[in-house]
Amino acid sequence: MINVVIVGTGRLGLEHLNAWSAISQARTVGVVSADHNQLKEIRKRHEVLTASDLNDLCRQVDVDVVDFCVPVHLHLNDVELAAHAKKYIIFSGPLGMDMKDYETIIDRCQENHIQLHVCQSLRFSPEYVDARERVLNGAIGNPGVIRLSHRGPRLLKEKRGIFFDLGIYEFDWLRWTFGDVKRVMAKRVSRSGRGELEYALVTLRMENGVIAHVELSQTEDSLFETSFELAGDQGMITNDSKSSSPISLQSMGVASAVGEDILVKTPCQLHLEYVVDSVLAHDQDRSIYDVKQAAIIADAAKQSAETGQPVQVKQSGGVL
Amino acid sequence: MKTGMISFAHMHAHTYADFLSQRSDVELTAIWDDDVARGKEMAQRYNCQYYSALEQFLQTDISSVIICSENAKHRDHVIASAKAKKHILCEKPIATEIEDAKDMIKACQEENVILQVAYPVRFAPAMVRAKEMIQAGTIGEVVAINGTNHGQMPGGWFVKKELSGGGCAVDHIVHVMDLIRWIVKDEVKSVYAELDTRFYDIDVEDCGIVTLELTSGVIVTIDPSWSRPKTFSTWGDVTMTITGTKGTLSVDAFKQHALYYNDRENRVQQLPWAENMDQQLIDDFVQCVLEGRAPSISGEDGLRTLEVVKAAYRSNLLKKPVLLHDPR
Repeated sequence: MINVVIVGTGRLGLEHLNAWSAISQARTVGVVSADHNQLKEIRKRHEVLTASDLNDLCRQVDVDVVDFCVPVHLHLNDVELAAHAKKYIIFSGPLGMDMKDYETIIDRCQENHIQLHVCQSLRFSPEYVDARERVLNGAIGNPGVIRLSHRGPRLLKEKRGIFFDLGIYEFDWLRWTFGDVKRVMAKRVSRSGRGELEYALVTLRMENGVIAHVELSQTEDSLFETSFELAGDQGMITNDSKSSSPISLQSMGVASAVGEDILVKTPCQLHLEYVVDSVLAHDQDRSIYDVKQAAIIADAAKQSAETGQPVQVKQSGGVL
Repeated sequence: MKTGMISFAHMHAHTYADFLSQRSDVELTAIWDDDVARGKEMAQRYNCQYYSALEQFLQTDISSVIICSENAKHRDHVIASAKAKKHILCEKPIATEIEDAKDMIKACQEENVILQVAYPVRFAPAMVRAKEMIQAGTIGEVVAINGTNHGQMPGGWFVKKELSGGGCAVDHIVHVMDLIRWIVKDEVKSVYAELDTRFYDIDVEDCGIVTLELTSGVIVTIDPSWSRPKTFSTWGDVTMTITGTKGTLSVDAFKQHALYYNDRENRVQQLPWAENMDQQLIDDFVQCVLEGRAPSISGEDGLRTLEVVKAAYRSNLLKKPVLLHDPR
């Protein structure tokens, strides 16, 4: 049995609390939060220890996995906390706000022999997983032009930049499916104040010649929407979250949200199960290498948008 | 009004001729084509005279010509027609070289004849409405445009560089580029392009992504790829997702269609029910000639879009952005 502590009781923390309860090889032994009222509510429904400090809790119970469900700007601080605990730790993506964050967090984990897991959610999203397998099995022949789009709401307090915030998932999936990136050209626009928005168009040339186009959009009141179009010389696979929802609801004449994932197992659940398997198998997980590579691509896009020039990417060592 | 057709090399010639024939105030009286068999066949179909000599064709009493020859021949055909005082509707792209386009515009100015470039998508009802909405401020200030003009690979002379001037970049950048200039009334500042041949064993590029910045700072990408599979439900698409400070507008010029699941041909096909944009283009050109007004889509419009195509090729070679001077 794997003992899990969840840090954070926001929307994400509560979602993970539910997800962990569905995994038979793991149990949540503790929840850490500064929100005492929320902890009280949680104690009513779950048999868990609660604390306002992670190390306090770790002294009371054996902990295998610390699952950080906190805003990204707290990750740097959290990794220091975890360094004392020397555990398997989980961050929900994105890991950091820029390349420096990624490097610092990954280096701290390696120094302290902490096994770090970051949820790169498209690796656990069924439509992206299935499309990748089909591409690798030759369904579209030789891939030519790949188009991805990712839209989400613009949250005023989160200003980490769209390439790390949204693009990181698409960049990771592209590399996972088509291999390393050779060159990135990106354009970005943003507006602050009323009508707050950030929007970017990124062209990536992969080492194998594939041309990929990624549209990233954060606007006020936007829903989360993703789409892909994978065109090759023997076929094309397309998907659009807008037109693949199996339920639509009109309530009193107004379209209502049905919820993002209509799935038995959400990407979040599948990621936690993946972590459990790797903890049980004592795997030296290489996924953190991939997380860093995705960040290198995001950083190249950021640099390109700043300079107006294409950026050559050297995947193993960083941006040239 | 009597009109003539110069070449049926481009498939749009057929729809143009059809729509000319439907009008009571226009008479298609003459066809010239360097392909004798094709020219004779078309003359028979449209019940008019075939000419094998261009000079002879241009000496007839037609007041206007529609030019649908191969791209590289547009220059000679436009200049010869202008010198014969014929008003001209020229298939896009205007030419394959910038200097050619400039010569064509100059010749038409000197001879005082209309030169209109065929960008029919401007007449698609969806585009007209989208333009009205954007200019009314529905989505606020435009900041970004994600455009596509996908197609199936057309083959034939379209993939012979000496006739077409290039592959999908020549064929498919210009439509979206023209729409953008028309809608946001802005010009291109810089062009970056990744072009390649990844779908077919042909000597010209068949795919790519073009990244642009307009003088106002609006960012744009255009996907001109011949990436639609043979099983795709139609020839291709023209779409734009336009992001503004107050909202996002997506427009799809060919969205108005029913779907046909065709067991006889083992495929799914789009059945367009939209009003035909080619008909609007022809009607507009005819009105232009009859009223003697300036063309809705000018030679300069053709030149500006050709400049972007040429910059895209240069950028693809240099692997860096190419700056265009602001022509205003």
